[in-house]
Amino acid sequence: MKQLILTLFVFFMITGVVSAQKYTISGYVKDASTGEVLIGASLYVPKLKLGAVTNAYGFYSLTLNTDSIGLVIRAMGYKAVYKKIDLKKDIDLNVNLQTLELGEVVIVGSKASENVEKPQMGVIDVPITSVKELPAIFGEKDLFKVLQLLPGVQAGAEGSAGFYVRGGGADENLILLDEAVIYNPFHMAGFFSIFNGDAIKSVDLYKGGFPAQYGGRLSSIIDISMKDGNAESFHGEGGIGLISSRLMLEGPIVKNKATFMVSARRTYLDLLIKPFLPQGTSAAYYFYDLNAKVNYIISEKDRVYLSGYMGADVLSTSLTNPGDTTGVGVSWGNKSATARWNHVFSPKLFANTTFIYDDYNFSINEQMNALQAKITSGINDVGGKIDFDWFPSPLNHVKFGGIYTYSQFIPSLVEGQIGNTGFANEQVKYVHNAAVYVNDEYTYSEKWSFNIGLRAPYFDYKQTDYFDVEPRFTAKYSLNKTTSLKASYVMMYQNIHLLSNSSISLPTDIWIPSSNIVKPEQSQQVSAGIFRNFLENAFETSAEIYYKKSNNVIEYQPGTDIFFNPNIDNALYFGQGWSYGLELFVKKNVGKFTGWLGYTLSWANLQFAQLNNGAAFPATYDRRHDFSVTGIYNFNKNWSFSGVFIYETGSSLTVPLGTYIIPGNGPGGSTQLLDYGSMNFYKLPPYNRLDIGIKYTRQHKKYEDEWRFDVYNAYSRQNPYFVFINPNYQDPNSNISRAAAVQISIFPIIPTFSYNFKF
Amino acid sequence: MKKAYFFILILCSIILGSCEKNITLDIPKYNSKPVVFSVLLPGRPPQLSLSLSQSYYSYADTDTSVNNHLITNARVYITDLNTNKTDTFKEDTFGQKKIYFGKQNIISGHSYFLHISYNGKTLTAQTTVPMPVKIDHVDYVKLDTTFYGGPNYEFQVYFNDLTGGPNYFTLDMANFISDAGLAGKQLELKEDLYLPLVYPITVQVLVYNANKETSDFLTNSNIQAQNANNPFSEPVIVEGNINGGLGLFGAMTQSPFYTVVIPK
Repeated sequence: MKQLILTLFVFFMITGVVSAQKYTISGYVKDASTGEVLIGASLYVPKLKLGAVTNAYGFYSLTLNTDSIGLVIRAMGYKAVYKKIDLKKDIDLNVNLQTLELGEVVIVGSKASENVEKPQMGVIDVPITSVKELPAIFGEKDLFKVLQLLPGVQAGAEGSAGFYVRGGGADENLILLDEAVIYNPFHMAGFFSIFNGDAIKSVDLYKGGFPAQYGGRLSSIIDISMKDGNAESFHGEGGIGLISSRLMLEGPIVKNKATFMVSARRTYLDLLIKPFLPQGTSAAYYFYDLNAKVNYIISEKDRVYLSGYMGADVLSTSLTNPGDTTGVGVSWGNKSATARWNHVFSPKLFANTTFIYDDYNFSINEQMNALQAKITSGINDVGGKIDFDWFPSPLNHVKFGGIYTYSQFIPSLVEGQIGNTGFANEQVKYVHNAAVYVNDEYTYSEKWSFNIGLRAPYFDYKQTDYFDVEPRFTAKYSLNKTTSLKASYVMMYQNIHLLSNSSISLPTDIWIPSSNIVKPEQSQQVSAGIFRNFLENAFETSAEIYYKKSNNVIEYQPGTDIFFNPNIDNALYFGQGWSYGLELFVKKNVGKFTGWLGYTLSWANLQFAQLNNGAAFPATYDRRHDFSVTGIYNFNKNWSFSGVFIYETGSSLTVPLGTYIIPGNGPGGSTQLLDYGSMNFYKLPPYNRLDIGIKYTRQHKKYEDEWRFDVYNAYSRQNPYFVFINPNYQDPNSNISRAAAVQISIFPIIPTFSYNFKF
Repeated sequence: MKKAYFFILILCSIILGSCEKNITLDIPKYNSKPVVFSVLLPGRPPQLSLSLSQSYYSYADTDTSVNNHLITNARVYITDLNTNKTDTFKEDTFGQKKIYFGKQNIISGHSYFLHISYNGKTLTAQTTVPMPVKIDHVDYVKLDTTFYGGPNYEFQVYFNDLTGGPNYFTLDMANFISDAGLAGKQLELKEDLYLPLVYPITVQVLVYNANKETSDFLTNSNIQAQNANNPFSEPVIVEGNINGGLGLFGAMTQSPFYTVVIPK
């Protein structure tokens, strides 16, 4: 199998290279008003029916053999540009695209959109404008809440920003912020994600058909790029909301040469409750995010970027009485820093070298008079990667490169002091992670194109090595200009694993590496789909089916203390999972009304020898139906309306059916035990919710501001956050104590006003 | 203005009133299952309790005494698979409880097959009695805490693992350690105890060696019982080894006592 893939790969490469041509047009595509490079902008030569797409740094390269061509350059949300070029030598061509005005529709040529043309599937370019325009809980615009509205993405608990992709677990999503891994992307126990929409330029969600440059997780990749900063002039935007405020500033440091972007967000619940606390008591909770990025164009061939993120949740309480001081402080957060250097070796070869540092840390500080204790858990990575984009011919776009990461896992570190005596208990795991990859996007003919890749990850921890090979393959067949069929096969390995204390995202979840006991998780996914655009790409539609099989998936023995267990590997169960489903997607891109409709029909199952008598059972997040519709209507330049409706089958739950007594618990004593039904056999009531929002925008001479009124859960549906069995429920009718199911719902109707501005 | 107050009042009522509610689970009717509990100990005749499980949500479940759900007049016997001898159990009263007793002493290393029939139903199970270990030595450390003046000691119990297995060792019949990957090596168990404040203190220590089904059942029973009132706990499913019912037909072997004398 591996040999066959390698042979095919070499064949496609050679086929492309031998047809390589004479002259190359290369350069960057940028936003004309901000100077930001545009990712995924397309360049198309209608006469030759050939084209190219800008990479993650806005760079493109197109090698052609004709001397006079017309070139159409376009990107979503921008006016297309047509350029006539006499190609008699290699040409550097930087293109600036103007943004579309409100409601403006531009016919962008005869070529279908990327979703139809590219040999890539299971990918969604998440519209950042939607993150800002759609109504949100407490007015907090959240990237992950928008991700949950896309087909194939299942939401976590009520109000949570957590998500599951195509039946995979919560830890199977790789979240990259400017190429740094974010291990815990949540604030407030998962209610909000850490990503401040003001600082984000683009987001790509990969659910399947993964290109070979991505790896390390089984189910999805969320690749987030921060804004570079406006190269033309100084700008800012911000907002004041119910629970937080935010500000983003960007501008040139040296015009068209160096830019900056800084962004900050902080909640202020702690400041609001402070005056109401009793004397001698303090209690506070807040979270904050800081994003910063600087980039500098050294020359036409060299550009450097420095970007960083820092954010944390801080919870603290203390009580001071004479002779008695107690206090607890809990904090958790992420830090990441990325330094990147883009270098254009030649019009056909682009390289990016990256140094990455990221850190996730959770700590509890406790003081009880003379006792001081600190518990820490976390993971930090230091690494580097190099990625090449090679354009040997207009038929091939080859990506290749490698990555190395040195990781330090701290499942739990306990240190403290009682009086003058110190104590410490440390478990640290040092891990080496590396991978090399090569990927070729190959256009065989007008109808057929392929994406073929190979990734080889290597993992080392404590004399345990794992070297694997991950083949990736996607084929596209165009039925006509607006319709294509696609199919893909991917294999993925995952060498770090999340052990979670509960179904909600808590900072006490810990990451562990693979070991001699914990084998790498592996998944194989096949998918197929039809993609069709209507009305000159105004409507994008797709239908995809998938089947994913995972091996070595992990559960821990129920009741295991995962936090303080030095031998946690021995308390794990290893099993398999499989999921399959159908995803339908309809999206309207342009006009006064934009939005999308997504529907997923899916199944997700797990099987462990030690659980459920060895029988398969549905995963907690197995949801048969998941339907969502979003809409934004721009009535005029001042008023716009937006709405979101979600309906999804309830999540799965294991509930006790019977009870029995066994002797024990001391001489003559007994213990009451529960007889549970099959695991996750019970489905909670369906989840449904309607959010609506109204926005009033005013244009001023030097700035623009807007008032928003959002209503979350407009008909106040009591959706379950979780359900538990209360064994001692006092029945008010009979006054008898009995077991009863109790549903906790946390978010009823929540109206929110917020104020935003930009200049 | 009154309308505004009324609106705010309605809004607050909605927000505050929608936090917690009892719901009725649409679950199938529960059919009671027979529950067996027996842990064989070498050198002693076997004993076994037999009862019925009940629906968790019915009012009748509020009485949790063993007697209410006992199965009487069952035919119970075990067969020693090493000697082919059969021991038929006799129903008897033990305090206020009815328990089934065998007559023949259990032997370490032997496998036993359980057969129960009542009301036309049959339950079966099989277990093997592990071999005992011998305690090599016991260390102890006095801890800083006390209980009503009584000292707290941590005991570190060292013993050599048995070849073969797997074996599951415990001091308290609730927390087991497995010897997977450690066969034949010296193992350590720890336990801290509050002791009476009368020196010298004599403590007798023994190590239980259980088989897998016994270790799993007792561990999970203990965890389930501990988390009974914790709404955030994942469900702990206690899986037994009884064909046709719930519960455990298991076995444990205890080491010879090791006596520790703590001088003042």
